Amino acid sequence: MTNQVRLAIMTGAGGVGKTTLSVNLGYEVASQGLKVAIFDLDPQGSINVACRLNKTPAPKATVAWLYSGFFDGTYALNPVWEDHVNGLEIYQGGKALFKVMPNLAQPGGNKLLRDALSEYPLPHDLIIFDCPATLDQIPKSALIAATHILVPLVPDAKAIDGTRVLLDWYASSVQELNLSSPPHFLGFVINNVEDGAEHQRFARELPPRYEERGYRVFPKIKHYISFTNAWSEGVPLRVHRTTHPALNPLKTIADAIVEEIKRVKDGKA
Amino acid sequence: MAKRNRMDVDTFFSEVDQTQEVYDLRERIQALEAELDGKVVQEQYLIAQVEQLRSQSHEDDPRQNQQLQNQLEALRQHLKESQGVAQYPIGDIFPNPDQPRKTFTEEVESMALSLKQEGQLDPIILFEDGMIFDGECRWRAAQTLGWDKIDAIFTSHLNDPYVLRRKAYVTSLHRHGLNALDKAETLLAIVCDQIPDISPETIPRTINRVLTRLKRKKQSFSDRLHLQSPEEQKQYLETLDDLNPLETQILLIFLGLQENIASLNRNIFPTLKLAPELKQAVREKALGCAQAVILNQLSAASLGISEKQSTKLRLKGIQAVLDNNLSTVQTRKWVSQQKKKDNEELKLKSSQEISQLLVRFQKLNLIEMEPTHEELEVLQTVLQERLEQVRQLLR
Repeated sequence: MTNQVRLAIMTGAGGVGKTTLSVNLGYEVASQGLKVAIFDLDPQGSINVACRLNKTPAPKATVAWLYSGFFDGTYALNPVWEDHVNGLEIYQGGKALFKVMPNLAQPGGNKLLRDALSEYPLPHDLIIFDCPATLDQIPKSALIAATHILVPLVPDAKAIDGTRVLLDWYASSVQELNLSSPPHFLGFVINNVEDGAEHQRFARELPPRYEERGYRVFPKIKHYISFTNAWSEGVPLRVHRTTHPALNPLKTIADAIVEEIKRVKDGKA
Repeated sequence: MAKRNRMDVDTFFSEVDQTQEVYDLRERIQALEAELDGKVVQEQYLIAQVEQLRSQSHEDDPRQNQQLQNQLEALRQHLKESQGVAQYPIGDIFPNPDQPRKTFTEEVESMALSLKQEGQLDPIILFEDGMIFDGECRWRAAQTLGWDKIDAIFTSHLNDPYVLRRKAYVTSLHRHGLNALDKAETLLAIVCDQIPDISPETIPRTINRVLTRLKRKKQSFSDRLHLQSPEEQKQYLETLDDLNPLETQILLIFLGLQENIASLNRNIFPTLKLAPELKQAVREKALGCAQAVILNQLSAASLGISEKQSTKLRLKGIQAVLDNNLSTVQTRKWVSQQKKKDNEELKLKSSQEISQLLVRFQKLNLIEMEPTHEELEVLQTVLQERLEQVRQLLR
């Protein structure tokens, strides 16, 4: 087994803050002195904006290369926010991923990510897979490669039903692929909570119900304009604002991840 | 205005629970099926072992008899654990018509005594219809004592031998520690079970032919093909348009056993061509199959020596590998050294013969030998023929 945590950030609905969560969690964990790589598995490549990276990288310099069948262990990792943190790197995604979809659809294609990581292991303590919202072959490859899953959702009917779709997809994929050690649910994050009555009601009613079913629910993260501003500046929230109420829930999740990293390492030893 | 129905969180979660329950149950079923399958396979394996021992055994050979008793004990323990012992009516039991032993008198008397004094120690083993698999003696003894019931455990009749062979192969029970030679032979037997009329020696050739043809087209099977589901494998083979039905059938059998085709061709099937003494060394002296295949290059045909000489050379090779625990690389080196030595020896031998001949020619004094006229004529013909050969060779 691997001695790193591979965390897939997955949802069954779009616009729930996956990329925001990925980069901010990546930053929080890296600030604790750990080595983090974020794989952008989204053909939209929105992480390039969040981290101010070249928006049209060569296909060979993106995760698409890993699915191409020619992968030789050269991960084109870009260090980001080096003025503020050491050891946070991004493996860019983007539209090159569209080109490798046929490869992924082939028999065994969804195992390419896992196989690449076991054949050419990375030294990082944490790899985050920032998945697209559609539950197709890309997230399936992340499911096969991941050790943990984190599910952000917005408290609205669409996103909540998205989690039902995700749980259903998870169970059927694990069975279909016959995964011997499927990834473990790190938990759910109720994200972008607004002041409206429906948002508040769902944010209140959902956690106990997930918990009853054995899932951890992290403290909710309210909707803040600061996230938007941080995006515009191309920095993580903690760089944009050194103190901010959203930093606490982010820290709780980051601590849970660090805990898992320690557990995985100890288990190895 | 009536308030519209808002989404109810509990209704939503009950949907989640339902689908989760379906998956949980499905998983449970799979686990139970696997467990049951394992039990049945082990049971059948034990029965097959007992039957094989019985068919080979000579009553007087105490070692074989002990082996048989051990196997029966293993089967009895297995059945006791998986189902428990039942009391079965003696009247419903009937003997196995294939039971080779027909005379029981003495044993039955002593068994009756033992049953009376100590009770029944081991349950008898019955097929589901009441036919005896093991314990006819105890059953007869119990009848003479007038018992109504006897302790029994049940097993099912053997499946067709070919199903058994496949199952036994698939379970780690049998596959574990199988050397390449045994593996190759078992695999051919499995194919022969499933494709009647096929001759075993054509199977490795067929596989080799398919791979060569693919290679010529710069294609190969995907490395993971053998790990995919049967449907995926079938679909994949259909995309290779030039496979004939027999080839497809053979490939699917091997893929279904999760065997990597290229590796079979490269590592497993070559062991079938091993010379007899190499096969024997693999089986009895634990000679590695990879080393055996390398030693097999020392054949009479390739070295231009007699069968007897090549056998001797291979035996020397077996000894060298086993004594020095040679790796495949070291074995290959040893073999190439032998080939070189052999070449040199050959050259040396022929040049020795020529020089001996020359000496004899030079010493030849025909006048002293006083040959007859006819003898001289014969000599002339022979020498002229040889001289012609020498001229031709010089050209």
